[in-house]
Amino acid sequence: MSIYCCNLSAVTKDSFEESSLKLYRQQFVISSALLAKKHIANQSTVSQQYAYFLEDLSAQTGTEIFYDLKIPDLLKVHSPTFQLIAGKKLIEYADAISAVKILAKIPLTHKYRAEALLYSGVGMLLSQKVQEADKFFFECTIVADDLARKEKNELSKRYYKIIEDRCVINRARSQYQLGQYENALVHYQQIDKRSFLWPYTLSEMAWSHLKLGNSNRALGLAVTYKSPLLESYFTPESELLMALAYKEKCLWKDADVVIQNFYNKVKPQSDRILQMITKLDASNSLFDEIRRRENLAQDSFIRSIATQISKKVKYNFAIILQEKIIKEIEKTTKSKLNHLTEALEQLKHSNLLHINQMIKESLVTHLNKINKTSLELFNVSIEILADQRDIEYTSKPTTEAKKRSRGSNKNIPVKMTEYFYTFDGAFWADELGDYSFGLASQCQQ
Amino acid sequence: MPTIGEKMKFLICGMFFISYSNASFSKEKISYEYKQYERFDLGNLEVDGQVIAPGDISVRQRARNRIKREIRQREDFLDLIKDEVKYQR
Repeated sequence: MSIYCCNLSAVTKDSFEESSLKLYRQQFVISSALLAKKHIANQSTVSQQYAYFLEDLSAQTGTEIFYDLKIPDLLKVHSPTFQLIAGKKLIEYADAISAVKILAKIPLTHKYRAEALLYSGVGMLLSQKVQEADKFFFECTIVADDLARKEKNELSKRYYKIIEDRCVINRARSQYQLGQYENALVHYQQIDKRSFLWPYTLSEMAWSHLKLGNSNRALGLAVTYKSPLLESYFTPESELLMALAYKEKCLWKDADVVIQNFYNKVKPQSDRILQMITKLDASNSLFDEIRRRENLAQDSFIRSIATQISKKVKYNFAIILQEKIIKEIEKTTKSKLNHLTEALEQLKHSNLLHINQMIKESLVTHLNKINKTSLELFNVSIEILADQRDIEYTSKPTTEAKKRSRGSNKNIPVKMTEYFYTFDGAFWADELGDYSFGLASQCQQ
Repeated sequence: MPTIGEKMKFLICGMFFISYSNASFSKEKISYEYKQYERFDLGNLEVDGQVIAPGDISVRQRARNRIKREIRQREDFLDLIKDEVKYQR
């Protein structure tokens, strides 16, 4: 999507400013936004009154349509929405200091204040200023909670809850980055199991347990992704975690089984993704293809990828925008505003390209994750061979081999705040996230 | 006029010179041929000396080479954070 997508000079003889206001009054909000963008790009400054109008307009169109404005153009508009977009873009360009300054201008009571704090924290974390980042995330949790309490609209409440959860997770990540794994786990445990972000925290919690040397807990968390409820989550890293946890316990055969299963399962999946990317690379029908396959029950792997993509906020905003454009095209066609219809058709095509690009990126990311994990598992298998050879060379022959035990409470350190459920091959919804293995280490002392 | 004795001297010198030059021009080309195959039976060779190596088969001890692969341990989640921000809005 680009502000240069549509030929708007033919749309109006008035100035872009006047035309955008006029179209807004006539309820053509998308068309109004197109002209407003032209006005912002053409002027050196934007009046405060027009900034207020843009704030209202963006509330109706969504922020997605303004995202292609350049940062200097965004900064011409003194409105929290445009400051939020500018701040987020600056973080993507790795200019955290400027981003934090701009985001700080968003008023305390504004609906985007919590999100601005989230971005500020992320900016600091990416600049390796972990302590400052933690402060932003902490403030974000308080502001998001406060805004959620005051909000009556259920959708808005959910939005604030997601922002709050993201800030809590990022606090946990900050602690992890500082090497405070116990503290990280305390933050992760604050995430409600009903939150859609909760399944993503399982692998991060497993890493924390692995770092603390509690590989039984790590194993229990990694294996949770195999439950039917979490089947749609594509997490190749959980396989790496399982292999590492088994390796820690010197259970090499089990680690080897995990590695072999991964290769057997993932190789055809990787081929299929590659096939999809190459087949659809030249066309723009990827979006339709994904949507069509999303409904196919038998194609569980592609359905799981589609589910993952549909959970991305930006993707949903783009879909909502597409629906709004289609509705407005119907209205302009009825009103015989042909020039506007033409401009909106161009915008529709441009937005579709944008959606397709997001899907392609997502598929490539999946593929890269598979390849990365494959390489890492290969390294683990080499290390396992080396470990076994070490034992052969260095260990004294023992008359009694350790008796293999597959689970005992003695092998699991349990804290007051932690639950413990043994995993007996069946998953129970309320027990998810609290499974632990009780395997004894087979490493010779 | 040279005397008979002087003529004889001259004749003898001339004959000596002619016979020498003939001998030098008629020298044959000698080609040396080396032995094309020779078999050594090392088992039958006897060498005088003292045996200092151990009699049985031995391997010289050396440090064992351990294959070391770098296994990734997550130190941060920055890759995930970047991805989340990208698709947040």
